[in-house]
Formats: sequence, C-alpha cells, structure tokens
Amino acid sequence: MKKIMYSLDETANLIRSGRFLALAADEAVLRQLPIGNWIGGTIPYFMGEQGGFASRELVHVTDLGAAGCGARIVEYDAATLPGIAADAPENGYTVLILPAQSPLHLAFAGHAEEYEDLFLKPLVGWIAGVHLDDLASTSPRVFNGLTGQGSLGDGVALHMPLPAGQVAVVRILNLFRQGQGDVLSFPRDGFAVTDCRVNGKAANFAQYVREAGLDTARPLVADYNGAQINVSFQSVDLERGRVQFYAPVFADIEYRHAAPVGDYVQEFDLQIAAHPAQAAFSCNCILNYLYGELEGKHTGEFTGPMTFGEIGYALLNQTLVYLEVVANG
Amino acid sequence: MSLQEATLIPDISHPCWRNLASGKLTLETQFLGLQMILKRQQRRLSAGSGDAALQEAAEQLHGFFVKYEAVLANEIKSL
Repeated sequence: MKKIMYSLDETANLIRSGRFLALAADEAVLRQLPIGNWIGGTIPYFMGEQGGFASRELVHVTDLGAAGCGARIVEYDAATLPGIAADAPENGYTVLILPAQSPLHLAFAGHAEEYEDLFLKPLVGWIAGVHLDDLASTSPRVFNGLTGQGSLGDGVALHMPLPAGQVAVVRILNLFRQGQGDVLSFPRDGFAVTDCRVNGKAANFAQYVREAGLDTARPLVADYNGAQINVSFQSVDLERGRVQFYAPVFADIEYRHAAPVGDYVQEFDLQIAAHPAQAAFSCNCILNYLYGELEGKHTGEFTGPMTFGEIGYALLNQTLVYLEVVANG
Repeated sequence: MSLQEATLIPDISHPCWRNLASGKLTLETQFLGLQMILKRQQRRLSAGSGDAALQEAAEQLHGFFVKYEAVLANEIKSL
C-alpha cells in the first residue's frame, strides 16, 4: 500500500511542491502547515497504510494533483454552498469539507439534494470532527490552505477538473441493509425526532426504540432506488421522548432499522472484493471505526479520515465513500 | 466497438425519460448518482408537481445519461 500518513515536515514539503492536497489531522498540526494548495479538516482518526488508528501528530494526505492541473480551492458559507455545483468543473469532481455541528453542516444535511445540478457534478468529502476525549472542549474546524486560516462555520472545497477521456464516479460501501422489521416514518424533517409512525401507527420514537429493543449501533436505513442510505443514532433521551440522529430523517422517506452485521472487517472485505477500485479519494465513518473496532485493522486498499459524516453527493452516515476516476469511452 | 455494440441513448422525446422520472419505469443500477437523482425526482414529483416539472425531471435524467454514457451501458440497455 502506498504511503498515506505523513509527518508534519513531510506534509509541509508536499505543500511546497505545489501539489493539490486534501488533508486530515489534529487542529494543532493543521495550524503549523505552510500556505499552499490544500484544504483540510480536523480529525485524529484514520485508516492509514498501517490500519485504523488515532494520532494527534500525523497527517492523512489525499494527493489530488500536481501544480498547474487547474484545480481551484473555494470557501463556502450558507449563502454560497447551494451553488457549489456551478463552481465545479464541467468534467471533474469536488472534495468538500464541512465542520461538524456548524449551521452549514446542518443546512447541507437538510438541503443538499435540492442543490442545482448536484448529481451532474460528482461531490465527495467529509465532516470534520475532534478527538472523542475533546468533544466538550474543542470544536471541529476546516482549513483553507491558501490562507492557512481555520473556520468553525464555513466549508472549503477543492474543485478538480479532469481531461476529456476521464470521468469521476462516486461510490459507497455500506455494511447495512434494511432489515425486515417495522416501516418507520416521521412527520417532519430533522436531526431530532419525538413523534413517528410505526407501520402507519403514531408512536413516540424514543419509547419505540426502547420497547422494540433496537440496537442503536445499527442505523435506520432508507432505500434510494437500491442505494441503502443510513441515518445513525446519536442519542435516545427517554425522559424527553426524543431521539437525536447524526443526519436528518426526511418526512417523505420510509425507513427500517438495519439488519445485523457480523464482523465489520469481513463484511468490508466481501464488498471490496465485489467492487475492486482504485480510489482517488475515500473516507469512512467514525462509527464504523468504533462499532466495528477497526483500530489496527484494514478495509482493503481504502484509506482516509474516519469522519463525523461522509459526503457522497449528500450527507451519509456509517458509510465508506470513495471516488474513482475511470476512462470515459 | 462495432456499430451493433454501441449503446444509444434514447432521444429526449422518448417516453422512457418521463416514465423513469415518475417511477413508472424502474431501473436496476449500482450507480450512486443515478440512484440518488432518481430518488430526488420521485420525491419532487410525488409532492404534486405538474407536467412541466415532470418534463424538467425527464430532461435532467437525459442529461445525466448523456454525461455518464460510458459508465451506464447496462442501464441504457434497460431503458
């Protein structure tokens, strides 16, 4: 496997060479990097060449292209993010990083699918996070390497053009499938729910989770024309009757609780064998890292930050997202 | 590739695009972008949109297939 994890000095040298990079590291490391053609997000969990691990010193480097390749780095706020596809090259792809729990993260999660031309311009990326020990004391940030500045609220994207003979394809590996249980729906969109319908019958969702004995390590899953799209549980508050998710549920979508998964690594290996790929970009979910006990283990050739949310056109949960560049014709 | 082997995308006026957008025509695909754009179209149209919205959705799907023709050969054969 090629080198993916770099020291601060090694990363600085890569930046000075002018290459376009997407970086993931602890905030203290990103702050020390020189100005250059890079975007970055905070996270100290990785799938590296040595397997899954946590580090506050090393940098995960996705090397996207050489100086002069025509890539552009653009910052986004709530007003400009819906136009991200218009900024993307006609043929190419975009890597986007957003800070977790920022208003921009929430807005993207709720409305990305409405963005103009979204599915005509391949979009991947991830949600920046923090070390789980620092959740109460630190906030996720994204960095624009052109200025070296970090932001708690804005997003940053790298738009990469491709030559005419190539096309970018976004793919996912999801261990979860809809189970055979109840059909669940919700009266309104949102990250937090109280009311729900279980097979059409009104109920409190927190009570339902308890009474049905749902394993909250497994997400709710929606079927998007064959794509299994997860919504992961963050917390269940029985006193307030409220369930919090890591992505919004939508009122016009039906969900089922995911079927059980055996060994995460074996399941990833099976899916990877069925879909061999040379990924130009990949990331995976911190929940897969935690629940799948991926520390010290590999997910085939796929590396990347273990994130607080994955972007494959829209916000995804508990999903390995990757982007392939393939011949077009 | 011989002429017989080439995949041909149906013209924008072909009813398959409106049928695909409305969900009357279903298509098996592993292509995430197509899966998600189909879901978006069906969600929008089920909200009670009119014929103009259906035509717009059909045109968007046609444009998607034109862009990704090389990697959607199996899907094009199913149209």
